[in-house]
Amino acid sequence: MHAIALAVLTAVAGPGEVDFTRDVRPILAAKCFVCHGPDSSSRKADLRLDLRDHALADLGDGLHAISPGDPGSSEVFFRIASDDPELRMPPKGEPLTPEEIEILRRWIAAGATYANHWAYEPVGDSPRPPVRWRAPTDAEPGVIDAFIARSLDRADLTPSREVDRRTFIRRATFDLTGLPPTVDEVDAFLSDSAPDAYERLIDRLLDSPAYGERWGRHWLDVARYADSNGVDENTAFANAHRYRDWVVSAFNENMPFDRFVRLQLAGDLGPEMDDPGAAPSALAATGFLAIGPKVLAEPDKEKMVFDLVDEQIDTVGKAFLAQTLSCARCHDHKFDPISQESYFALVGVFKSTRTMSTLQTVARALERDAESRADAEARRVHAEALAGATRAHDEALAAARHEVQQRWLDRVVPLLEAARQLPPSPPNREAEDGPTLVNLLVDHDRWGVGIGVVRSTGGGSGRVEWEFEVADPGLHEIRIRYASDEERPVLATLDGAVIADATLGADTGSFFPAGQRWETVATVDLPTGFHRLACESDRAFPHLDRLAVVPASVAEARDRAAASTADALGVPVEVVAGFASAYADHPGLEPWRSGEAPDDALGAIAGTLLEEGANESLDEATIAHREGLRQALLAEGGPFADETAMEASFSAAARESIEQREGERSELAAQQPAMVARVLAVEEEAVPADVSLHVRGNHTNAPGPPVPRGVPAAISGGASIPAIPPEASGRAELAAWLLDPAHPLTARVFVNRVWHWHFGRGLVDTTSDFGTRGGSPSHPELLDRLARDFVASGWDVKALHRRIMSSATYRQDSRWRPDAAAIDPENRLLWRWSPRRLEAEAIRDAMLATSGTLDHTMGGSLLMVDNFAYVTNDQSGNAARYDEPRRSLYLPIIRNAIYPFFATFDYTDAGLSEGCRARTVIAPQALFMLNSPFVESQSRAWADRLLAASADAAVGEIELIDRAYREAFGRGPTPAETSLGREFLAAMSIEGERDAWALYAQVLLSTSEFITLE
Amino acid sequence: MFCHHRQTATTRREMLKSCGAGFGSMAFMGLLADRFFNGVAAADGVRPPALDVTATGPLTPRATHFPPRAKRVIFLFMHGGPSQVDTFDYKPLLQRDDGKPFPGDKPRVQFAQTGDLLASPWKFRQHGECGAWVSELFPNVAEIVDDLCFVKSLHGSNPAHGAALLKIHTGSETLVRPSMGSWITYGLGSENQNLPGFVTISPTLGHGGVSNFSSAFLPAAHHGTPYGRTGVPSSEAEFAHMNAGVDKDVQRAQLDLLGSLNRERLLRTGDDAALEGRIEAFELAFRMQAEAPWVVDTGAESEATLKLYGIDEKETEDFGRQCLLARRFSEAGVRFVQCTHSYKWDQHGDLRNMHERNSKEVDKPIAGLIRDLKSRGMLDDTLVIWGGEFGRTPAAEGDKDGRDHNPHGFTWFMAGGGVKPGFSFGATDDYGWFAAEDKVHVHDMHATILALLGIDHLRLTYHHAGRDHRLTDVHGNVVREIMA
Repeated sequence: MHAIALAVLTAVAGPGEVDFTRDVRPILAAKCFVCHGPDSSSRKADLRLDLRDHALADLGDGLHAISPGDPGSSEVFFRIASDDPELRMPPKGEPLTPEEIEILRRWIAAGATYANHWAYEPVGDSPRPPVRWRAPTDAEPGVIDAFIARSLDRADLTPSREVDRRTFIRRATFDLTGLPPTVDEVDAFLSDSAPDAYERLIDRLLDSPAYGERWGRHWLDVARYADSNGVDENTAFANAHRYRDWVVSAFNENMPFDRFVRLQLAGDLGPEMDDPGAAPSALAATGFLAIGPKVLAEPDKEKMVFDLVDEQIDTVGKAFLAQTLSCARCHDHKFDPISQESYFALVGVFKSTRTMSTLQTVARALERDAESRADAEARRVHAEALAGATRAHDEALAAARHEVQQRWLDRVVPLLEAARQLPPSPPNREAEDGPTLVNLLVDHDRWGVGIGVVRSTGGGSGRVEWEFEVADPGLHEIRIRYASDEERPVLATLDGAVIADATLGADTGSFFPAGQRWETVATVDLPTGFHRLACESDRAFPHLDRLAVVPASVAEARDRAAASTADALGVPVEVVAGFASAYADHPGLEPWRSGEAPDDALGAIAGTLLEEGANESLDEATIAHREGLRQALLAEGGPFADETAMEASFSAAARESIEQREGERSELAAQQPAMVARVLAVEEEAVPADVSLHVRGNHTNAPGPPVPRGVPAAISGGASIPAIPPEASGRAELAAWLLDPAHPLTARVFVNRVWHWHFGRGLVDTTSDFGTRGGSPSHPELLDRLARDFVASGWDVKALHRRIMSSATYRQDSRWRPDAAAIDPENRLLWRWSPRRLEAEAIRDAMLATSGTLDHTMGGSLLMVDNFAYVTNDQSGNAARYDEPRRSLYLPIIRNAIYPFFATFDYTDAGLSEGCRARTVIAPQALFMLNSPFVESQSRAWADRLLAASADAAVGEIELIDRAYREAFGRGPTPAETSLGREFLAAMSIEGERDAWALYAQVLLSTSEFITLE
Repeated sequence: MFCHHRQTATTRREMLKSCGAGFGSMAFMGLLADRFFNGVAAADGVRPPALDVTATGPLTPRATHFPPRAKRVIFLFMHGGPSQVDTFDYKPLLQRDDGKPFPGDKPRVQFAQTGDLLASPWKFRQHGECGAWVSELFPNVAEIVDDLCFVKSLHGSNPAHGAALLKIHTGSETLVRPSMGSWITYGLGSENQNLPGFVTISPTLGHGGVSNFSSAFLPAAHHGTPYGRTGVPSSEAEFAHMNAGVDKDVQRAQLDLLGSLNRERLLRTGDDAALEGRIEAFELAFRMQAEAPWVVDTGAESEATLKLYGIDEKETEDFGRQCLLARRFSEAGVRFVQCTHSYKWDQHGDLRNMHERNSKEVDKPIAGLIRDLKSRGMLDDTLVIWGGEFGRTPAAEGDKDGRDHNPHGFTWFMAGGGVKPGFSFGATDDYGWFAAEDKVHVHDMHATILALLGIDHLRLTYHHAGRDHRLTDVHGNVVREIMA
């Protein structure tokens, strides 16, 4: 492609004229600079050819790499032209072509003049050439046309005639909105005879919200926008859409481009942060830096940070500067004046910027509340106050509990005495003692170590049944002890009759024995004899430890005795009952059950249980007793930890203190600032720091001295080099440098992108590479003129659209002309408007619009996945859905698993900044049109709508075909097309009219014309 | 949604015929040709060139840099990371020093914490004339070791799955780069223009997902075409959008109409390569639809063949079918075929049970594939590659029944396609942790695979974003020692 373009341009220049920038540097850059260029580390023979002084220097023995005017004594020419493989340069790879050798020969013969690379030179003045536009057009020839006309003249080419209005409105509407014009819009434009009809059309389109959707989407390619991370761990960026929506609204508002750039690089640092209205979108804009793909499971955290900074530098370099900065991570740039040092100056800037909330696997990008600095500060102050109030309340509560527990612990000896005096409980029984189990098991190893519990085998339904005997008839309490860390109620039956439909359902705080508690399942009247108690559940079971069937009379006697003890000791009855129950079977009280420890030892130990750090002087046995006691009494579920009983025993003073603090706390909680959107955003690191250069870009290699944070000065042109304050990362300064009107790249790069999106090809065809190996501008002076005027207009993007679209150049017909094609087959000189296929989104949107199913709702997210949850997984699950009839830019963009429709039609891979979509023609596109359910359903919907309209208006087949053509193509059918359609419908009529039309509609949607702009 | 179109073909065919000359595509082409050269077009003074349906496409076979040893590749990818010290890299010292600390330095960055050395629970034995050590996990592969070439000193750079998968598939763990299969079809084209050049059977969407078979910045025609996906049995796999919802005759009629309308348009726009390409693309799509079902239909394979691949047994049915499909795709001219044994090999725990099950699922199919290729005379120019994204540590992780990820030394084996049979290259240290002798980096492996296909990895480049890119980036040395 380059070779052909070169041939055209050389032909334009005429024989003999060799231009260094256009003709020579690309060859040197491609074939020589790897070893003889800017990178000192890989330079061979100490020779560099990128600087004239070096290339002309004496190499010793009177040898010169280049002798101006004398190719014969230039070593370079000798070596590239040599037939001897030992001598020929370059030593590896393809040798130079005869054409390339000839260009270098002529260049040396003409004096070997060098020129600086055009892209780093200041933007030129470019006065309007005094050329007349020779187009057969009514349009006023403008500045753009003058430049285009001059190039065409020089190549002996003429422009094409003006395109017809019908084609123009379709071209302009798709171009500005990504949608087809409606039939009414076409008709209105055709009948608009006012002199400013074109201007009003373009204004209408620019004012349409669809404009921002279309052009915002263009920018999203450059911003490598996606709703998921991709790379290794494909987790969701559920808030990325806020960046996307900001981009759309920025285009719709016609935000000046300098502001647009500054907010994306440093929106968190500008004056917007002091404006509650502007701050949310300023923060959302910095999502630009945050939405890149990252290796989230990288175990080497140091590497992870360097890699993500590299990704940011790569994107910033391509997006705004069209430079491949990240080439300089490992070495000085091979072709462009980007030193490794200047790369690490930028690393310092971005490493001083926080992009991640955590680096721990799976790492997460940073999100911030979208609000102003003052609001954020108020939120922080409030959160701190609330935390303080909560702490105060909790402390008061803890003090009250402590006091109550201490009071109870002081009575532990009489409680023990009372527990021994209580009427005896009938023996209870281990749950694992002789049950019938269905899908349950007895666990001695994991949750029931040493005691044994009955539990589920791992989900699903289960059932346990025990048989027991009753000696004396009468009322009995059925009690079960269990533990569960979540609510797992079971159904209890006795002899087949339900006695409780949801029992044992409490969350006891733990699945382990410490969480066990007794619950009375039911009180039932039981006759003498054998009975069967069963529990069942269709979900997981709580862990069952024991059961007891207690005659009501015994239970009542115990309850009475417990109540009178409680009265006597001044403690709640729950404490007495709980202590008695613990004494009956808790292992922690075993030393007192067995008599191994004396009762007064119990009092002594218990009295100190709430003290901190009293363990040191105790012997081993006492320490064990003490811990057992803590488990029996104070652990969760223990009698001295019973919240309700404790609360009832709070002193009046304690109660008042707690209430007062609770009041303060809830008052603060009620003043909670309203929740605001979270956005992916960046912020300054607490301590910005310079970063050392690492050899070969590898962070494990020994670092050199720190490189001060800064910008790549060698590509500054006339832009002033900013000083970065010690307390700043340097992003704001980087943005200011980029937007200095004297910067040679920023404006050129953007106006070239806009040109590319309008014409399908930039004035520089490598829209993201303005380096020495990128393309050369086909119209350098026009590029400069557009860039200069763009800055002068206040970076007014819509004005740039108007200027381009009102040019005669843009209004040319797109038809192929063999005479012109013979001279300039690639249409680099713009002798016509190049027809081109629509992008994936526009194809899909056009189908939805044509079928009548398009939902024009703007903004928001269609990603139905929790934030940072996996969108795709290793079993190829994919949580993204694409069945909403919304405009394509709102469908989820899932890296590693791009929507197949998009992937088939050359969507970007969404992981790399891309300003130039491919436009391939491959068979899977055809398969998609033929067989995808989406195309089928749109065909069906469109056909049904057409038929319904025809039924209402009693329209015949010919009129209906006409209608279909106008909707799909903005024009009526030719007679041949009508008859082809009729024949097809007739042949398909056996399917019924509805299906025949659906099949016909599918063919129309599949035509080249439907997806082509002409 | 057009499934109700599946009516008896005869009726429709008769119907179509009854339209007379109206619906044969050739008739239409003739009609159009007349118009092209005598009618409207000439009147406009524009004479578009004749349609060239044999134009050079992105998959047209291309000359190699030097004579190829292999013409095609089958990559059997073991997702998760099989343990080299439990399969093919026998380490007597590891067996001796079970439970002792690893005597060297562990890597600076580990994925998880590891403890002491863990001897392999499986017995190793020497096999074949070459005497290759194989553990009892791979009894069938053990029988064909004289056809295999082991590389036991492979090493990569990242111990996490996602990054390691991307590295072995694309050469880069951080940047979106074309997959090895894409580079190969870009370099060689394909031998069957009716099928994709790069097919990946049951690929995963995790750990890099599509990026592992994406063409990235290479032309889209080199994108890996997935056949099924992980999580769907290979018996239910299919190509996307390959099954017409309508009867073939109806679709043929649609295509004829479409061709006519597109050619009508061409009369007015003049020369348009894209439009011509699109006309051809629809015809190619139609041919693909006709050819693909035949290639993936294993119905005509003999009982013996199905048995050879283990398709008659429950455990081996799924991967066996993948391997058989790989052979059929290769036979049909697909340049690069990948089979993925899904994310099963990641035994941080439960090593004994799960490595046993995993190897059982793949052992017979792998041996079956290589035997089948050999008996059909295809092994000579088909390069079969087996391996995971990394190996596992000789030290135990967790409860002495697991191993951590190990990118520092692991084993792949290859067969056919110009590699030395019955050969082993490189070695890890005494315990199997680090590649030690004749180290082969993943980049070197890529360079070697390309070399076996006749491609110089330094010269297979694509200009993108300001520089010429390669599969091997700025690395890669061809391992000539393993080439026959």
